[in-house]
Amino acid sequence: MNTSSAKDIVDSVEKQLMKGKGRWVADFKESFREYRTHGLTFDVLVRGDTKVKGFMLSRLFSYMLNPNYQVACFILSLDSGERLDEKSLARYLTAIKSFMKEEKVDWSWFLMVGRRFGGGVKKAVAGLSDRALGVALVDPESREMVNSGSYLGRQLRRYIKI
Amino acid sequence: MNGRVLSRVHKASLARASVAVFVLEATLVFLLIPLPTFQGFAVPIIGFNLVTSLALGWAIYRYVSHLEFSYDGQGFKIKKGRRQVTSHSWSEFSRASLVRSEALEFSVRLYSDGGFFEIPASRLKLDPFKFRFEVLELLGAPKS
Repeated sequence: MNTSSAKDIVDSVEKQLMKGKGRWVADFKESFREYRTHGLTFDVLVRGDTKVKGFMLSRLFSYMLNPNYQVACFILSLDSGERLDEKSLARYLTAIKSFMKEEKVDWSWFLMVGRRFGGGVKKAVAGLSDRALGVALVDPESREMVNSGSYLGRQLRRYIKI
Repeated sequence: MNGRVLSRVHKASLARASVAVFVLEATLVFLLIPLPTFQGFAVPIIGFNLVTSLALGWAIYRYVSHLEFSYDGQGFKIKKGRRQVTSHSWSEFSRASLVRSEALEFSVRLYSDGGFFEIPASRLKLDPFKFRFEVLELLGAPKS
């Protein structure tokens, strides 16, 4: 099996987003590394909006019909043997929600990459139903992905190729 | 500045300058030379236009938009064309990010208290993702 480290997956997802992979959902334009917010550090924060650009007609169409939502994608790797439990997950989700409120971000994705997720965390992620936040866990060894059941969670699984 | 110096030709900008000169020369020929005369000397006229548009395009490109970027552990300097020189010290900036423009060109954006400055990584023919990490190292520990 072709196994990748969590860091490789983080790099690959960042590249995919910055090169326009998720453009059918949002246009991601700016990426920060080691982004610290509310006392927590994320490996990557990629920001963008839903105003898709194009040439002449598509630009006019987009301007008139597309809402310009501010969006963000947080990526966290747990390569260093760190174990994520439900409590830590709740802290990360609270930090993201606070960031979204402060920065007027309309919706976000949160991708966690690592091997040491407890069964409770997987269940908690699968049960999340926040409409403004799509969450997914990825195991770099098995390539298994667990996503939240919201529309954004399903889109995250669809557009991010691990 | 003892460090790395990059001065690579941006072919798209050079092509734009040359095409602009060629179109200008072709318009002048169309307006000033009568059609029968042009028909008699079409090949030398077009050849002359091509050669001069390439030469003038190169000169305009070098004078207006050629980028020369040099950097070391202390700071960096960007020279655009023959006139515009910008230099900064890495210590002026507290954070860096990677940004993509509408034209799908990548830059490394450096944030300071007063705003930001962008280093056009794609135009300098640098791998933007690798260069961003290099800049983060030069800035010291990333601060968010």
